[in-house]
Parts: sequence; structure tokens; C-alpha cells
Amino acid sequence: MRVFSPETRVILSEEFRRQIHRRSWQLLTLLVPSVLVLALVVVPWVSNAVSNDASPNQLNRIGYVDDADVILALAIPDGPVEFAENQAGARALLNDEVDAVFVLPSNYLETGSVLWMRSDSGFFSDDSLGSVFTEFLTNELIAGLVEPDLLDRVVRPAQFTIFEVADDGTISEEPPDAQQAGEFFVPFIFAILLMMAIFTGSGSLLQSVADEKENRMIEMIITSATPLSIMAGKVFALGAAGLIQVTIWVGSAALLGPLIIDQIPNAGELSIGLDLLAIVLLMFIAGYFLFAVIMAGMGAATTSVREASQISAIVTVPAVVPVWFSSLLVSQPDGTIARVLSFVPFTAPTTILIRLSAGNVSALEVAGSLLVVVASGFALLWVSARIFRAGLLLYGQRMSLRNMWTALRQAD
Amino acid sequence: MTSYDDVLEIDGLNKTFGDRVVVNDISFQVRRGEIFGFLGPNGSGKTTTIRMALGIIKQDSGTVRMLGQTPDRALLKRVGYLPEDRGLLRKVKVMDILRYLGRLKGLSSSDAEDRGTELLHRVGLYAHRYKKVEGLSRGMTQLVQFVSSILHEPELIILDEPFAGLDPLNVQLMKQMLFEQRDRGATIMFSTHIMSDVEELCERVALVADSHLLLYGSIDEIKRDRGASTVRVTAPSMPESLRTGRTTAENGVMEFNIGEELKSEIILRAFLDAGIPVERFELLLPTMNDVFIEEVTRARILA
Repeated sequence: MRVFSPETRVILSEEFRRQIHRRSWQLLTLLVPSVLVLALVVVPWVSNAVSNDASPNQLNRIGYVDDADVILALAIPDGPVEFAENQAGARALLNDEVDAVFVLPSNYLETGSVLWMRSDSGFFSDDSLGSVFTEFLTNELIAGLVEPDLLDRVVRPAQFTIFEVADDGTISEEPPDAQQAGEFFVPFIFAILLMMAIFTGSGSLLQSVADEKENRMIEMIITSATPLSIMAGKVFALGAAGLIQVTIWVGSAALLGPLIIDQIPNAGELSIGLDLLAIVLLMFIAGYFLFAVIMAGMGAATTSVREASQISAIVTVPAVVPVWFSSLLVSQPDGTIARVLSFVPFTAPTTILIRLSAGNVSALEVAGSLLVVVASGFALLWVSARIFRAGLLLYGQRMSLRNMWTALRQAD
Repeated sequence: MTSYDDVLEIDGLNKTFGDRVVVNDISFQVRRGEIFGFLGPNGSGKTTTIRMALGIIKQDSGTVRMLGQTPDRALLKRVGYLPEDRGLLRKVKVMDILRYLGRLKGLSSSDAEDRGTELLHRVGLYAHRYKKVEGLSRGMTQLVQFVSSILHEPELIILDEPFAGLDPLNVQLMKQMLFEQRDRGATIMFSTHIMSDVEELCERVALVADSHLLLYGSIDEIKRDRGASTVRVTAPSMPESLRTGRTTAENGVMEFNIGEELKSEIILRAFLDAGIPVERFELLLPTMNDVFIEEVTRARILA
């Protein structure tokens, strides 16, 4: 029996046309570019707001009361403001002349205790002034005791460059933060998008199969096309729609992503390896294909749209299971659970995408997982077609296991 | 092209669902260029026979030949089919459905759309061509489905209860279109239990009831074999001796159902004996409705 028959191509093109005219497909497809365009507008605005809020010299927004008499403040011209006593500091705080006042009590040198007065408090308060004052205080305490050349090293003794030793022993410099962020977020976002696409796209496929069966239009179609052609046409149409969807997402991200990154100060350069991108795309398409086949099979096995919709909710659960384990998959991407879920067809696509976000997954594992997903997809496509045919053969008969088995054997 | 006179040959078809016999040794042929009636009460096995003929379900035994060959999907592209259970994808536009089904039958997109446009004009639904099916009435949907079954100009058209659910105007329209299809050379077989449609459209029929074939042949032969069932007399009045329950009279035209006790000679003798002048005396053959009721009732009594 041929999967790519002329009828498959007809069903593929007609179903594809219907898919891309669906409102939910169009909205989901435009979601990513829309978010990116929004980010392009919002990010510079937020960056400006943040940079405006942040004073270029936070030191002059700090006040102190030095009852311990340890601060000379000779070296810094535009430095912190000294207050004679606590009340004066508090008044300056209320008048917004400073953002924080640090009080060094007379026994500071013995206890290290410092009082910190500020006008805003709570979970979202800015604690960065504490670090600024600490650095200032360190400088004051060691001034004169250390050579000026060494002063910076005493305050900031280590600037780390991190190297990663891989399983095969190769040592390489860890990529910059922006790249790591890209490598984490791209697969993770695709895992989430895969689930969204499964819920919307393949749900519509289930609806389409069940709808044609329920309203008997299938009787007209089945006289022109084999069950396998019908199933394959529908599944590949959904796959094609998914491919276009993901191409638009990736294309818009490639186009707009660098522009957005440019708007973020000190963001570095966002770069994502092409090999990672290729794996993510392949896994996405394979997962999409597998769940489309499962949905088509469910549509074939049920007798009404309502019944099919209820069952679809159960069938999509495996796609979500890896998300439940996401913290485990991220913390132990090479753990037993991660490896097992990578080779169970229904959980493999999402698992691999989440694992990729947490670190490298060996090429062999990715290839094996892909093979499992694609092979399962084609096997289930064949099974779905037989179930579909058996459902038609069982017209007017009771749906007993014996009847179903007989019909499955007769189905061709 | 293979030479054949019978476009559809059904030979000894049998089908059981579990313990229930649904089709029992049914055989008949549909000849090239005719409109053939496949008659029977509800649940008699008509739809199952049609589905087996089209390969939708498999027969337990028996054979089907179509257009001179054992049917396969390539051959079925030359067949048009309107199923009994109607329905189209509700969220899809009329023209999209016609193009889809037309293409599956081997038409190109443009040919399917051109033929669809032409036929939608014919059935008065051209203005609805870009509407979704859910926006159409049931009758309109049925017409669209009928259009889809003849879109590719099939050689054999099989219609399962095509007039069910249609209003009289649309029934008339569909009948006209069936005659047009026959005139272009198509062979048509349709199932029904409405005998007036059969008398109007068909030359030959097969009657099934309770899974058995009861009658098969031309309507004229079937009626002639049964002989006259009614005597129609045009006369100014009715003899007293004939005023029975099996009589109707209107404007001087009387009809008498004849049988074992009341024969045509007795009726004529009664008029002559009563001195009533007879203007017209006709022996009427039974209608197909009479034949249907008589045959199905007899079969059920014997069963």
C-alpha cells in the first residue's frame, strides 16, 4: 500500500489549505513574531528607564555616620555624604538627598555591625547600595596599609574565566552568558511551543477525522482513496502546516532577535549554534508528526467528535509529562529518568528539547530518540489506517473485541 | 474499453452481522443507460448491499462486477455515490468541498471548480458557493452532496435514498437532473421506498425485504404478471349490488378492487343487469405501491 499516492497529495493539499485558514493556527503562528516585535519596542524603553533610574555615581547617593571614626574619605571627591548624627541622616533620606544612610557605631571595629537606614523597604528594595558601601568601606579601611597598585586586587581579587571539561576530555572555554541564555531558552521555548502546537494543531486533525466519520462524508472519500492515503494526507498536511509555523518562528527570531539583543546594554552577542538549531527543529517536527498520527488514530477509533475530543485530552498528557519532570531534567540531563523519557516515543520530543536546554545531549542519543519518534510515527500511521478501515467495516455491528479483531484482520 | 451491457452485476451477495443475516443471496444487474430502482422497506438490506457493491464493507460471499470489471479504487473513480447518511464538513466552504471531492475523483482543481460552479448554478446554490456548510439548510447541504456525486461525470451513479428529506421542488429538480445524467449516457441506480418516485423514474427494479430479493425485473412485466387489480368504470350511477367497502366513486368514475370474490366479469354483469349504461370500463394494473405492500406483507407473513 502506498503512503504517497496521488490521493495522498490531494488530501494533503486540501487539508493543508484548511489548516492554514484556521484562526487558531494563524494566531499561534503570529504569536512569536508578535512577541518579538513587542520586545523590540519594549526592550529599549525598559533599558532607558533602567539606565535613567540608575545613578552614574551611586556613591553620592549614600550617606554615613562614622561614630567609629574609621572613614577618612579623602580619596573620593564626589563620594558619600557624611552626617554628624543619625537624625541628620534620616532627614536627608526623607528629603531624597540620599538613598541610604549607613551608621558605623563606635564599636564597629570590634563587631563589624553597621546600621542601614533607607526610606523604601520590603522584598523589592534595591540592595545594591550595600555592596557599593561595602566596597567604599573596604577602600577606606585598607587605605594607607596596601600599595595603591594592589588596592584594586584586594577589593576584587578574582576575575574568573571558566573552562568546561567534557566527557571526552576536551577542555573548552565556557560560552558567554548571552550564548548560554540562548542555548537554554531556545530549546525550552520550543518544548513549550511544541506542546501548544500539539494541543491546537493535532486537536484539529482529530476533529477533522472524527468529523468526516461522524457525518458519513468518509463514505464518499473511501471510494476514492485508501485509508492509509487518507490518514497520511491528513497527517502530512498538519506536518507541513507545522513546518511553516516553525519556519516563521525561527525566521522572525533570527531576524529580530539580534536587534532586540542590541538594545540591551552589556548583553553581549547572542549566538546559537546551527547544530543545536537543527536538532531543535528536527525534534519539533518529529514530535509534531507523532502526535498528529496519534490524534488521527484517535479520530479513527472513536465514533463521534465529542468522544474524540474527550479522549484527545488524555492522549496529549504524555507530551506534558516531561514538563512535570522539567526541574529534574534540567538538573540531571543525563540521569536515568531523562534517558528513559528520551526513548519513550510519546515523551521523547519534549524531553530531548528540555534536556538540550540544560546542556549537551550526545548526538547518538538525539539520533536514537529521533529514530524512535519517527519510526513510531510511521508504525502508528499504519495502525491508524487499519483502525480507520476496521471502523468502516464494522458498520451496523456491535463494537466487541472479537468484531474489532476480525475487522482489523480484514482491513486493507 | 471493455464491452459490457451490465454496468453493475451483483451475484449471490451474502452478509451477516453477528448472528443477524442482513443480505441473503441477492443477485441483480443494472443495465447500461437505465435508471434502476432498488426498493425495499427500512432495514431490508439495501444500504448494506450498496456498501458492499462499492467495497466500503466486505461481503461474506458473492461477487460484484462494475463497468465490466471487479471494482477497485481506480474503477470507483468512474462511479458517483451519494450515501444514505448525509453530511459534509460543517466548517468548510461549499466550493472547497466540491474541489476536494472532485480532485479525489481525478479532476484537476480548476476543472472541479468549473464543474462545481456550473452545477451549483443548476441547483440554485451558486450564491452560496463560498459559504460554510454550517450556514446551509439541510436540503441545501443534500443538494451540494448530490452535486459532489455527479461532479466528475461518472459512468455509474449510485444514490442511496436521494430524495429523503428534500422538499417537493428540490425532489423535482433532482429528478430532472437524473434524467439529464441518463441522457448524457450515465447509468443510475437509486434506493428508495417511495414508489411514486420509482414509477416516475425507473424502467426496472429490484425489491428486497428482510434481506431477501423478492422481485426483480421491468416494472411493466412485474405489473402484468400480477394482472389487473382494479376496475375503473365511468357510469352515471352504481348498481346496489356493488356498494361494498372496496369501492370508491367520484364524479361518475368508480373504482373496484378486484379479487377472488369480486371479479371484473361480475362487475360488468352488475351494471348490465341494473340497466345502467357504461361509458368506459378499464382494467387497471397494480401500482408499484400495491406491489410493494403486497410483496413485503406476504414475505413477512411467510418469514
